[in-house]
Formats: sequence, C-alpha cells, structure tokens
Amino acid sequence: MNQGNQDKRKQRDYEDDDSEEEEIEQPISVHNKGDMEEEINLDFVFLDPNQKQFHSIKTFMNGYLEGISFKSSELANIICDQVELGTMVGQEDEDNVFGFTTILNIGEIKSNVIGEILHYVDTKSQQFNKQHQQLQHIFQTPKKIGLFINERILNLAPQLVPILHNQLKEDINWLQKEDPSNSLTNLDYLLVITKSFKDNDQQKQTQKKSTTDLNDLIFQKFEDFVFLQKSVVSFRFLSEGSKQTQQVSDFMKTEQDGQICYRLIYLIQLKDYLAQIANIEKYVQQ
Amino acid sequence: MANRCQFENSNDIGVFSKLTNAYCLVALGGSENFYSVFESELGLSMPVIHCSIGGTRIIGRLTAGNKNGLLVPNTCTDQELKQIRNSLPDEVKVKRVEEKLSALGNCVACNDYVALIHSDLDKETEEIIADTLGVEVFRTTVAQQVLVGTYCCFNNQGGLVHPLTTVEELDELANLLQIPLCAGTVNRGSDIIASGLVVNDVAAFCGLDTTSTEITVIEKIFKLQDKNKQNMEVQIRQDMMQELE
Repeated sequence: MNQGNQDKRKQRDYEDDDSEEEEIEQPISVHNKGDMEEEINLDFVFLDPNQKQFHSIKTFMNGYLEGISFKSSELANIICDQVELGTMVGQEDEDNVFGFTTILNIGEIKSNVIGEILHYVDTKSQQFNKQHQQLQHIFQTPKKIGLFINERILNLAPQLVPILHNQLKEDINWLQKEDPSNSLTNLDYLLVITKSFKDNDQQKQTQKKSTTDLNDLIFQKFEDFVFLQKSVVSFRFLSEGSKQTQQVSDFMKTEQDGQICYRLIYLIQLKDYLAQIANIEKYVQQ
Repeated sequence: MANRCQFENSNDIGVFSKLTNAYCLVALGGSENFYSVFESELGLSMPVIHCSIGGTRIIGRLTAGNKNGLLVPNTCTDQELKQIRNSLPDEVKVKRVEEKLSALGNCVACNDYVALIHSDLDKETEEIIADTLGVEVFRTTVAQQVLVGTYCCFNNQGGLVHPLTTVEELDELANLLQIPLCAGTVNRGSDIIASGLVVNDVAAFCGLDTTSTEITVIEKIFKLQDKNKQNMEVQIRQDMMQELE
C-alpha cells in the first residue's frame, strides 16, 4: 500500500518534478552586540515523512501525553510510515526534523498506541470536559476522526508555520483526486492535544472568573488560538507534568514562579480547520 | 545481562542514570518501572541512589565516576552533594570540580582503571580525575568528536564506540584502554552511545528501542552473557562442526 502511494507521490506537479522537497529561503536578522545587524540566511526544506526521521519524531512524541508512559515509538513509526499525508521541516542532507504536521485516521490504524491516546482523552474528558457527552457522541464514529499532530521546536521561525499547514491542505486535496478511497479523505473532525500556559499571578486573580477565556492563555503554538475559536468541543486541565518537575527544582522556585502549564484538548471540524489556515498567515505578517 | 528500560518515555537511560561497579545513581521523578528494573538486576549488591544535580535530572551527563570515586560539577548544590555523600559507600570519594566544561559525563569516559577525557579539560581537572577516580588519564577524541563521554562507553571488559570510528582509531583506543572495542549503535541506530546505555561489569541497561542485534553486540563486547549460555553456544558450535564433517 505504501509503495503504491509513494509512486503516486512522485507524479505530483511540483516545481522540481523528481524531488519530494521544496526549498524556502528565510533570511533571519541577528543583532550582534551593538554591531550592525547581521543577516544569516537559513535554508529550510519541507520533506515527506521518512523512517530516517524516526529519532526526531520520537523526541517530539515523548511529551505528547504529559510524560505519561505510552508507546511513543510506535506512534513515531506510524507517522514516519504515512508518506501520503504529512510534512516535515528540516535541513538539506540532515535527518533532524525541526517540526512537522500530520493527520492520522483514528479508526483505521490498528495499533495499541491509538487506543492509549483515546483512553487518555476519554479519561481527561470525563474529569474536565463540560461537553463530554458531545465528545463521546463524535467518538462513536472513529473513522471520521483524524488525530492532528502538530509539533515543532519552540523557536522555529513563524514564517514556516503557515507553509506546514498549507502542505497538509494540499496533501488532502491531492489524496481526494488520486486516491479518493483513502480513509484520510473522509474525515469530519480533527482531534488536537496541545499545550498552553497561564501567568502564575493571573491564576490567583482570575480564579473566580470563567475558565473559558482564551485571551488569558499564552499558547505555545499561536495557531491553536486561531483554531480554538472554531472548535466544537474544547477543554483544558492542569498539566500533571509541571507538578513533577517542580518536585525536583523546588529549591529554585523563586526564579521559576513564572507560568503554569495547561493541557488543551479540542475537536475542530476538518472544513473549519482548512478554512482557518488563511487566518494563520495574517498572524505571522503582524 | 542487558536490560531494556525507559525513563518517562525517553530511551536516553544514560542521561538519567549513572552506573558503576560500586553504586548506581538515578534521577528523581521517574516511574516505579524504571527503578524496579535497576533494583531487580542490581539487587542488594549495590546502593541505588535517587538524586539530582543542580536541580536537574540529567545526572548521567553531568557526573563522571567509577568504583573509586564520583566527580560532580560546580552546579551541584551543597545540599545535593551532602545527600550523595551520605548515600554512597565510604570507599567512594566524592569531589566537586570547578571546571567550565561542567557536563562531566559528556567530557569523561572511564572504567576502574583508565579514563578518556575531552581535549580542552583543565590540567587541574585532569589531576583531580586521576586522583579521585584512581585512573590513568588520556586526552583523546572518538570519531573526531571531542565529547568522548558521549560517544563511547566502556566497562572493565570491553567498550562500545561511535559507529563512524575508523579501524585505526579503534585499534589505537583499544591499545590505550587495553580492552576490546567495537563500533556500534544503541536505541535503534542512535550514535549517541552513552546517552542510550549504562553499563558496569555485570549488567547493562539500554533504551526500549534498542534492537535485538544491538543487544547482542552489547552483551558480547561487554562480556555480559551468562557463563552457562556461553558454554552452551560453544557446545552447539562444536556439534554443528562435527555434523558438517
């Protein structure tokens, strides 16, 4: 199945017909201690998923469920094997990946790791989600739900983000034309598990306020703010992981009373996600 | 025996633990699974000490040690140093090193007799290593990498080095260390040997992703196989040769 899809991939109309990569030059300015601004040109390359990227993907996936032990290697394997949908950003001739986006069909993939992730979402939803019934109703048709995984290193140039999402959109369009029977073309919803932060001081002040105010949150990935506004179900909860690391660095607490980490889980309709991608670009241009 | 384990989903065992022939240090905050693998294998023969260095959990990369001593960086707080000192056996000397290259685990690779160190380590630090750890010290590189503590890992019986180490370099290092060496990988092709593996003379621990081929190489080069198993293999080989004849 994979081999067939790889062949189809090569027939796509790209500027470079044989290559599976696109080069985007991103000049980045750097200040140098009172000297004149120095420009460093960095070349990023967008790639299809590939087994060589396994280690990078696995590193990103380690913290996916707040440090809870789960089969992250299996998940990384599945992501790397799904050539037909998914984009990685890295550098030429290097196997390190700086960020990626992909969508996995929850109902189609026969792997324990998907079960572990769904169990996690269900457990957290029972505890924290006011719209739990709605979420359960949507989950009754798992083949219509895609797990949207969008991870990158913290300081990746924001100009690359809209491209990553646009690539996903193009991948879906291509699949609809070339392989309409593929399960990834029939998705209705995307499930997203992500992170956000809140200032510690604010937490004390706004305890009585409604907890659905998005403007209070600091998003690790800015596009989550854009997508959340169109989400059908969303909820958040205090991250267990942050409690654990505090245990180790307690004596340094005075330097770290910064921010509290919240995990966010939301469901967005695929068509809304695709429509919102254009709005992300506006954020980057600001 | 080589055992696979994970520290909170990370296969980088060598980052969160330090194993020698006299003691074992492990980072705080891991799951019970992680500790139980160590404790069941090492048993009562050596203390398994939970600690942190400078408030961090990356103790395997910050410390260097063997059965004679342990070196900690200047980022280690007094409280942590005291706790480690109290938990270690009396024969083990603990010393805090004032060195700008503070990730001692990345800069120093050692067993109970020899140490390889980063080329830019201070002369003073070199002397402290020789004195506290009771080893002969050599400044060298491994596969043209200065971080010797990261790209090689050895016990008193054998060693594993970066996969791109040339044959000449292997011979040279084997000569210095007086033990057999082998180039290989851990954790499914990762070349950062020491972060994926901790080893002493009787046991090794590596990440869950380590393939069975890698485990076989590890058990062979560090001579961790059961004596019974080894004898059995020799016997099977002999029987097969007889049959072919």
